[in-house]
Amino acid sequence: MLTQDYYSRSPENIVVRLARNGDRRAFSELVSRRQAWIRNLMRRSCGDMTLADDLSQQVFLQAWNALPQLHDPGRFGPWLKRLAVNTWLQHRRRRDPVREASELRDDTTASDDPARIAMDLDTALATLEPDPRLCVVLAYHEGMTHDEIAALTEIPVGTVKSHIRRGTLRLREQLAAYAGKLDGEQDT
Amino acid sequence: MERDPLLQKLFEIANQDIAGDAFIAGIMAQIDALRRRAIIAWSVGGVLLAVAAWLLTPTLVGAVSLLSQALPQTLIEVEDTSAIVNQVFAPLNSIAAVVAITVLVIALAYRKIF
Repeated sequence: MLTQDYYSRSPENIVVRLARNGDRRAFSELVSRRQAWIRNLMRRSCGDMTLADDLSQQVFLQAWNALPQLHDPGRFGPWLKRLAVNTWLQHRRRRDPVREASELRDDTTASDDPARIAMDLDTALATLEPDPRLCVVLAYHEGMTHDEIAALTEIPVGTVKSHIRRGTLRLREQLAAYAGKLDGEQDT
Repeated sequence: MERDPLLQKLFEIANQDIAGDAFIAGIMAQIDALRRRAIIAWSVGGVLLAVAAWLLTPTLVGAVSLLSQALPQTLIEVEDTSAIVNQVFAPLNSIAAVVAITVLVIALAYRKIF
């Protein structure tokens, strides 16, 4: 029987192969490695921590069920990201369309606390409509290109570019308090 | 693709390391529950199948025996079985051949239409 240490030291593609064959502990290791990434992605996408964790759970359960269909274990990360984005898009389609972008806030003050920064960022992201928000999150959180975002979300490339440009401007406006602070830190 | 440095920095800072013990335990508990449900469903399905097979065995055996008697029956009675024409067409001169040809024609027509 393999020890937990073996799983934690093994490269991801080996662990994926084991999990694909139904190894429960291997899958637990994969969840452990990827949970923070997926939960952060979901938090940025929906802004609600509880909902983000529920959706992240759904993503991992889907991953467990669909893992035998993953042919290339080396592509586990991108495959999981696709599951996460699809889960979010499906949730949005089911959701009441009345609850959309929040109102603008103009009282954001810069903070040093990462948790507070995350909260301010989520609040600023909540002022964007769902599609621009997703495009901005995929661009900044995931470092994806316009073409990659367009392929993943099935939004035309031109629209993706415009969503990111406008979203960036709006977020800059919302988080203006951080501009001076971070610029100041970079100067020192 | 150009990204705004300030937003890039804020996204990096916001990308927190989230403690995952309870989260992982929750997922694994759900996976275990799914596995248990699947095992129960397969077991119940297997038992039902076995019971159905046991109950239907006499009927199935009867049907198979009836079919095995009916399918080889010739359609046209041939007097001179040694004639070459009759020998060539002998494989088609049975109920089984008609059934097989009908199934093939239906399958081909289905593929053509759909």
